[in-house]
Amino acid sequence: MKDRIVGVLFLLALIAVPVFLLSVSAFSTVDLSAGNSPEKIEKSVAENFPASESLRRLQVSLRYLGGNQEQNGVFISGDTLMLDIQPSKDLKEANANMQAIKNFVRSFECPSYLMLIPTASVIQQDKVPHYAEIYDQKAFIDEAYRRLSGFVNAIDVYPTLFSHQDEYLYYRTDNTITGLGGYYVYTAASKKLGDWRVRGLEEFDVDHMDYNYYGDLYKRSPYREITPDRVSAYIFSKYRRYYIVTHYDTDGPRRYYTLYPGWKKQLGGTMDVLLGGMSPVIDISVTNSQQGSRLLLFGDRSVQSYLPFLLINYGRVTVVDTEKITAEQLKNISVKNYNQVLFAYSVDSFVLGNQLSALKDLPGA
Amino acid sequence: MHMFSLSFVYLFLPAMLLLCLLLPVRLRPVFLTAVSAAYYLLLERENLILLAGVILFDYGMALLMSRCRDFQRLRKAIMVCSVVKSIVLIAYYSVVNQLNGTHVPLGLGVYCLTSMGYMLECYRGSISCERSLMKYALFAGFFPKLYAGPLVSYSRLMPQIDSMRVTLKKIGQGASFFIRGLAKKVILGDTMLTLFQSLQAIPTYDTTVLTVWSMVVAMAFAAYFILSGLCDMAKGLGLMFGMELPDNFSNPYCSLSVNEFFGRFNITVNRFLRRHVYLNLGATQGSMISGIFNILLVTILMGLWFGVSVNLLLWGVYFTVFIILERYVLLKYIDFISPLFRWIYCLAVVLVSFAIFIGKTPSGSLEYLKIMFGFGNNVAAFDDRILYLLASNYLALLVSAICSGNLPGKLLAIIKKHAPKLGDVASIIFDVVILMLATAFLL
Repeated sequence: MKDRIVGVLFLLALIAVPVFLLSVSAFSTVDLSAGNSPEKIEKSVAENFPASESLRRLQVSLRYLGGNQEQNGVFISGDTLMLDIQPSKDLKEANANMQAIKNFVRSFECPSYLMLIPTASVIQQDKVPHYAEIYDQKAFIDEAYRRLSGFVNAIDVYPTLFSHQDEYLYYRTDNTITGLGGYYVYTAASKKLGDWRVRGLEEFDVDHMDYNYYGDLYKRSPYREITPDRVSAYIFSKYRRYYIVTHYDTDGPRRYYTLYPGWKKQLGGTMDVLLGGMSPVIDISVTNSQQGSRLLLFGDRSVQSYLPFLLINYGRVTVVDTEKITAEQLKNISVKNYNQVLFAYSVDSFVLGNQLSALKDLPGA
Repeated sequence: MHMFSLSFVYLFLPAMLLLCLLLPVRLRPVFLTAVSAAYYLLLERENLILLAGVILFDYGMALLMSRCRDFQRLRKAIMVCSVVKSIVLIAYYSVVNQLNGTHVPLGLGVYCLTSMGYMLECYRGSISCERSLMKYALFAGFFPKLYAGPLVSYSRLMPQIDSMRVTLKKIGQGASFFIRGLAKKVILGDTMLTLFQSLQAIPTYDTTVLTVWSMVVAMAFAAYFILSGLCDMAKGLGLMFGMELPDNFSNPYCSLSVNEFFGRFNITVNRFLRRHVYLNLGATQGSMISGIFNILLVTILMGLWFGVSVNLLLWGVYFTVFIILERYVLLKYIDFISPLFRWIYCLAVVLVSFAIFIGKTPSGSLEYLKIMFGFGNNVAAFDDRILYLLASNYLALLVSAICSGNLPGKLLAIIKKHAPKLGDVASIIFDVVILMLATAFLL
């Protein structure tokens, strides 16, 4: 009797699945005849399989429960996703970046600063799976600052971030720091960039723009049992300030009169609201600023978190996204128009990407 | 579209079963032969010609042999010709694969040895040759058994091919085997293989004692679950189409001696070699030297079943030492040794053998053996990397250990004994759950 029941159930499953698959229009278009390779058919079956999403989640959750806390290169720790850095042994990219900074400083001889922002995997080490070997970012940061001493002023944000490690410094689903993390970066940077009075967090209005944000790590990791992130805008409330934010990208310039153009959420995504997204060059002027200082910032997307705070002390900041910038766009940047130059990168982008080779195209380099 | 793919389980198999059920019994062998050929063509393309060539050649040779009943020398020449052809084919592809990584056609060893066994049986006169090419082709090339066996003798399979009765009960029994085999392969076997590959990727200078022990354990589990899973799937598919294939694995890691291990690991290959090589050479009937030689030859051939390489040859030699030791020395004392110690001894011998199995060269294996036992300069007992990999796979390792001892099966048997209905329900739920899990792991 038992065998017959198993037989019936098995036959039912074998009949139900193909019937379901053939009823799905996406699968019906896949020709099961000789025209399509077995791999293509297999992929199509997997994509259109009944309850495929639930089954995938089940598989990933089982693997996670089974101890597999690193899936698709992403660490899964309870409610947080994290990425470790795996640089090449010779640190080719990082060395090239450091050499480019040295060359830049020799060419322009302007006050320059270097700020390397550690990633979540090293600041929130307690969330990294036990025994996982993670890259020693602290040692790398110290070594980079040592090698560039005499060329740049080092802004060490590591101790500040580490002392606030229990706070919401990093997105759970995105490999970058939050607005709050950006605030702590600002507090550490303020002491070096100008010894300004550090504004208290209470001096900023906080606008929670999105409570359901899923970032790049969520897309990369198969694990789905993660609470979405909250993306917040920090607005300096003490004095009303007027900004002109001009983005220069391949489509030509576009301009906003706020640091947080909220309508961009509908067009692009939540991250496009912060400074209006990232472009090869973003020029931000504070029209009613008492500060005359001008900052040229070579960086990555982590600027979106701390720049709103730094802007309190500048009249103009030009952000150059060195991953996106072209030689043509660099020709329009004149270093001598700025009082300070800041190289600010998340450690992963500094170690893994050749960020600064483009600087040789700067006029006067 | 492998047997362990979604498209096979949920498209190819239902279509095949449905058509088979609709066909009259006499046409089913023809249908299954055509399906096997189509499946092989889909996976192996032009290698189908090789499979067809071997089948046609041995089919023709056997017919020729049956016509030369009175010419003993000619019969022998035909048999030798066929056997040499099979051996040369296996050896050629294995060597070429070793030298330049050329792909070995799927099931080459299985269909060549099946054909070889058939020819030897025909030569001895224990069976009469098959007249139907279609049935012979199905006997030699039935696609589910091409992955990892089992090797089936003509006298066992052919009567079943003649009366392929498909019943709901057999489909149920077959489904159970197929589902459990699929789960063994995709959930445990592949996970253990991935763990093994992660461990193998660690450079030798970073390898610790625990790393090598973990490697051999992972490889032992991977080999067992992948091979036995494929054999269970083959058995299950056979049952669904009305053919009962023999078991090829029977909880080998529960063995209490190396001799017993070989009786439980790759059973049909072991049986084939015993029948056609060992017994033909006189087994242990002659002098001790000839007995030892015969054991050595069979055990080496067992190793070479997995491919032709110096390491696999050494693997066979290594086991020979223990088989001879058990047969000629330990046999007298075996009753005085507790089963627990015998099991530990056998498991240790088998696990250490996998250090020879996994080494790419003899010196690589020697290096693993040295590290395994803590010899060499600055060999650490363990490090964070190995602890991380073990922690990342602890559940899979635990479940593999439990399943390699067939504990779920034993538990179900106990439940069935005391509460048959509850046992049946548990068994059905178990099958449904693992089909769902195996499907999830295939996505």
